[in-house]
Amino acid sequence: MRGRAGRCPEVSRRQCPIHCIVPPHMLREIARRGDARQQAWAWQTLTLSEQMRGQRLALSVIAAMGSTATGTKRRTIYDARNGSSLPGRLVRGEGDLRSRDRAVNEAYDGAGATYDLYFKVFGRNSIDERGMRLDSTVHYGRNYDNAFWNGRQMVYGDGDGELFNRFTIAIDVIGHEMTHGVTQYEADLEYQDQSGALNESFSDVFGALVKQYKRRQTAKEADWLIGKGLFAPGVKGKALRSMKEPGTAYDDDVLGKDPQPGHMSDYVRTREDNGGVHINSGIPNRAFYETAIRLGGNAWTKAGQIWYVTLRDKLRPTSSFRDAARWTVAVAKDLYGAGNLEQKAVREGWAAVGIRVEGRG
Amino acid sequence: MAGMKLTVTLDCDALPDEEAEHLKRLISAAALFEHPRSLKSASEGADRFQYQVMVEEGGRTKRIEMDESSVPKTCRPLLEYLTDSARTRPKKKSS
Repeated sequence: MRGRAGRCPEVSRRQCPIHCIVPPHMLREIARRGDARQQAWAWQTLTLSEQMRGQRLALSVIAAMGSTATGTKRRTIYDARNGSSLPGRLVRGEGDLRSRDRAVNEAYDGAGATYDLYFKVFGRNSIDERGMRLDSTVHYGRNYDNAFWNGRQMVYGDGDGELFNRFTIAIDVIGHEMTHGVTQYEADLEYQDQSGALNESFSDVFGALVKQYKRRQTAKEADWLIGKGLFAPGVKGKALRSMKEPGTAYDDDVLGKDPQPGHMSDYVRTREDNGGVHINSGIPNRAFYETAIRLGGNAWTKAGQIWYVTLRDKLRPTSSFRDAARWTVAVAKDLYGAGNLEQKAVREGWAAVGIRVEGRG
Repeated sequence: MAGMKLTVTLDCDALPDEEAEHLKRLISAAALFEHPRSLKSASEGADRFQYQVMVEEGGRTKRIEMDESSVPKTCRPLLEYLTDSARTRPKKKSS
């Protein structure tokens, strides 16, 4: 396939989606050398097409062109202006002055806080470990009660004002969505049934750790609530989910009752929600909480490290809860020694939710 | 993100005339009977909405499941209307 301005040497002819007036080699130079706005424009023009999405070889080539020095953040915030086209209009780049738009600033600060947790605690350079640019779009849709990861970026709605506030208001929501990106680049847990519930749980775990790290809270001090502050006044609920007590986060006339189980005996078998990925995530969520409480101190130090290494090195797309339990126990042994209190805490954490991992310690 | 389910059931015969006509126009424009029963997305991502819509009209019934990124443009106004309705009508508590 030949672009209007030339071919793309890095990507096979069959896969090359790039058609533009400015030739790709010039765009790559701008993406490398330009100022923040020029880089953002060049990247936007070079953005992968639907054909290239999920093809990691192509992704790694494009990502390599824009990889940053370790520890350098590259945040770009876009405004969808209540439409559904992504990414929208560029409104704030890395290092730019604060906006008058608080959603823009919250997305910017939250992406930075999430980057900092991953880099300073786990040594990870952005979502793809190569310094990938962190793109966020705010004001997506109309009265949009949601936030999501679309495979390339984070997207946030404003909420409808009656049930939900804007979704950038909760920093753990931002950490949650960015972690879907990390998962995509690591275990790539399939978004269905138990692997999907694990995918959701890892996002809640690291979203919670972003909040706790920002506040320098211990596991005991933390509230273990996901999305606290998201509900509009009048909604009967504390948050979207409780990692400490799944099923207790809300009970409202319109939203219903929090359906999350906290034990395998209450596992929900359903065809909805891709097999209940947002429902059954309560089980591994609580396993993490139970582990972190037993270890004490800051949850990101040991429990977070064990969970991160498991996600990065051990899990596969179809991993189950039992696989996650076995691997976190094994990683605890690798990191801290066999039979030590860390491995014991992980084993007990999973036992508390009804998943027993054989062995001592 | 929230993992919550909003449900609404609307009967045109029970709605005020103006609202009933509006809903009928949205249903007509959505052309639900012309779409396949499942519109799933193969793309990456997480926390997108999923919709299940069932319409009964003139003795015919059609049920469609749609992933947010696969929703046809013609269906979006109907889904927005249904979502707004689900938010504002109180859910009946079971006795």
